[in-house]
Amino acid sequence: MAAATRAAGELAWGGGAWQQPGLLRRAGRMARGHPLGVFGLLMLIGFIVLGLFGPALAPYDPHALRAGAPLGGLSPRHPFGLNNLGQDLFSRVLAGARTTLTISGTAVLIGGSLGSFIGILSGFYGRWVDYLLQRSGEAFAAFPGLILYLMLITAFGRGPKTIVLALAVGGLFGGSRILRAATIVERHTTYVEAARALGCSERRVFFRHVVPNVLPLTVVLISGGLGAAILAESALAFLGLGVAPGTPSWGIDISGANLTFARLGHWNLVVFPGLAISLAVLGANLLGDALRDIWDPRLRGRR
Amino acid sequence: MSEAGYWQRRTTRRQTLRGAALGGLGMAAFLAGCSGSNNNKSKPSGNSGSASSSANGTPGPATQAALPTLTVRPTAVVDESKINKNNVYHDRQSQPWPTINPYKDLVTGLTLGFTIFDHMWYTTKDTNERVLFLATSIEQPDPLNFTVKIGQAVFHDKPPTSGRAVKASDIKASYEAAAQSKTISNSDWWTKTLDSITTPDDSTVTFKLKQPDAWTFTSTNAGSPLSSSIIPQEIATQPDFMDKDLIGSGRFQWVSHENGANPKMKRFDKWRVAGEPWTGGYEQKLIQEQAAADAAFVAQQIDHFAAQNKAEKDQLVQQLGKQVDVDTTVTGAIWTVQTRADGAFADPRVRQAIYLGLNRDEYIQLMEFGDAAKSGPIPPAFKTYALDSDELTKTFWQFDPAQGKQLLQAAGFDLSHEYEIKYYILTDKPAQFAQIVQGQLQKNLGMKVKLTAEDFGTWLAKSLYQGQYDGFIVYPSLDYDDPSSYIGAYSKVIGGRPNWSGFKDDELDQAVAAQKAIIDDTQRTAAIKDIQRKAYQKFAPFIPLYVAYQSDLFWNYVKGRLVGRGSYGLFNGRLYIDK
Repeated sequence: MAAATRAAGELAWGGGAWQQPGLLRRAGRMARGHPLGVFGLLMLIGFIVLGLFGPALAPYDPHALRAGAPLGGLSPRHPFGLNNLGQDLFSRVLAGARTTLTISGTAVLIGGSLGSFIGILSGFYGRWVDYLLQRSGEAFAAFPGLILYLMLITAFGRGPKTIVLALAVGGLFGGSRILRAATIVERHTTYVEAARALGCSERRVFFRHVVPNVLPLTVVLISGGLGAAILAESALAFLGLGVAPGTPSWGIDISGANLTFARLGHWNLVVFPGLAISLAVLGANLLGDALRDIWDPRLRGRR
Repeated sequence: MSEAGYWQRRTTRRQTLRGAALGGLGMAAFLAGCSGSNNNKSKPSGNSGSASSSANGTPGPATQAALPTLTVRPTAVVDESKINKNNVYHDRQSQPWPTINPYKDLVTGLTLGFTIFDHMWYTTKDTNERVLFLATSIEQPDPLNFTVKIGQAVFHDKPPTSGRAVKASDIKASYEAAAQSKTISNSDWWTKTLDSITTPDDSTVTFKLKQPDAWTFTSTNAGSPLSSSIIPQEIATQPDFMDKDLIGSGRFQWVSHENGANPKMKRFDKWRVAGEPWTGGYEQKLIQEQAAADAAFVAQQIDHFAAQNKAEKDQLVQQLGKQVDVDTTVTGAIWTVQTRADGAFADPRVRQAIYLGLNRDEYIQLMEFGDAAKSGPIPPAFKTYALDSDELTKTFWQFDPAQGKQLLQAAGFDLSHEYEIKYYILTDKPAQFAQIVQGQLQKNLGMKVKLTAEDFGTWLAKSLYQGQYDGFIVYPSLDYDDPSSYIGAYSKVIGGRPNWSGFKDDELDQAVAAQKAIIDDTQRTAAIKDIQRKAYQKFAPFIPLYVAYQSDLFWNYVKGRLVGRGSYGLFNGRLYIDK
């Protein structure tokens, strides 16, 4: 068994055996080729860690009123200062990572996965399936996202689940088009035609030859969409349409009373949550760009 | 005041004019009060001497700070001939009106009621004095009948009225239309008290009541700035006409609007008070963002700015110096926590626990940075009717979370169930208020509560009026000009709807109804105080917390303002722009 495995991993190359580089070595090579992507990945990992452990790491309960003097400035005990309810802003930014990343991450995972599936189906089966799915997508694309969200609020009520649903639906068809195009290309490749000629069933062709070859694009879509989802979640919270006020959330913390008091000189109230949003979006976008470069052969070596 | 004095009180035209001459547009303040955004908050630097709280959550001293003095600012004697009466007064419109029909939107109706439409009288907030407007006399031979004689006035010169004289039949039609409207008044005076109106001649209106009501002439009932607007008979019988155009006999006539935004009015030259108004028009500019309104005020695009908090006020005063005047008043909008009175809250001990678990000092510090006063069921501005602070300190204002927890335990209250706090999202403040309520209920009483935000329309129509909430609903009350409105919440029926909280108490219900029939002011005042005491004894589910101070900034070229008389000042025709 071991010998067979080794044999399978070896390729004949000029009469000698060529050993495929190890995973770490390949990762290192990719990292050297895409330093910004690595930087983005590290930032994102950092925020995910904050999301997981932020509330535990926070020095104060992010909900607690009067952790210090209301509108207190920056100090060693409160490095980001306090809002007008006396809540510690540093603790809120740490805890806000969980809210923002959970909502945007879940939404983009659902939207990206379903969108990819729709795109692959559409591209592979073509005809009426393609027509139906793509026209539906165009109808959705023509619908303003905010109105869609307001409709969903009316139907399902306000809350994180509705935001996830709205963001997922909003990102559904954008990704599906990319996957559809990739699937159409894949469907007409020589090896797929060869598989068909050999008598493979459509199901086998679909699952064994087409899906595995277009699936990496889904990862690109998800990582690329994460930044947009973080922004969208923050924007909804900023507009008062997101999670309930009081919930630690970066979008909430750059809106409402914080915005009012920031205008009156308490800049820290919006700068730190705003910075968290910017860095998280930057990290997601850098990672998305790098992954696209890695998986898209046409872009390799251009940068 | 004696019985005869109350029913036969009248104010001469000269008194009316003298009062009106003091001038003042506090409209923004009043309207903001109606929309729940009238309270100011300020940063900690503003130590107003209010009750304070320490940072660790312990209550501060339970003393009530002195209220800002409610003085009526006297107007200097001015030479009318030297006033430029063509300048237009510009104010802010914070939200576009959904309609210009006063019968279809409260804010719209109030703004128009103070400007486009005339009224027979208005009762002032500070003195509770009935000031005659179009009425020249009000005679009340008995508590069930009163007759109003009206003076001469004409409608604006537009079809279908084309400048004809105002007749008694217009008033009858207007009141009957208001009584039929289900949207403009929450008062049951229109359905339960008003019986019929007759017009023996063109200048006489006779009202017949089904039952005596000592509050008949107040701004909530027959003297409402909205419902008592005098509308031409032709239009009052078809109120939908006002979807398109407005015709009244007020001191301004309607000019234009842009889909409910930027309403413009110009002086009505045939206004019944010769020479008034002293401005060429009244215009509002739609400015939804507070920061934009601030900038517009600094640029003199608007002449008045209602500061949201003390920090805003201080910054503008620092920036503009003596070029601006600040009018500070105590609002009548009580920030209220309303529980349910049924289900898990049916046991009075549960409601008592909630009374004991709310720390008013913390609200005043966090919401208003000290610029506020604790309130009982009737706000402290109504000195005659409000309970004094010593009594309130021992009752409504008690803060004892330990006892509260014991009461919850004794009542078998399920602390594992999560209740909701419903609030509206028209402005930032209700959300902040709800957060503090949530924090205090969790910390002080160990209750599980979640916040539920709603748009204002849904919140008002469903959650509040229909009592669709599970646990708590929080809000600032309206800023009423008369004290009776505040105790109406203890009735079984509020504005024709079942009590919003499910509170049904026969004794209080009867007491609220009975006080209306007490004509003697002293006896009625005692009855109203007794109702408040009973409300505490029964731990009525309307828990009053505090009222805020309101700061209005005016460029000092806005002269003739009237301060401290409630919305009576909004009828002022002698405000002028001295530039």
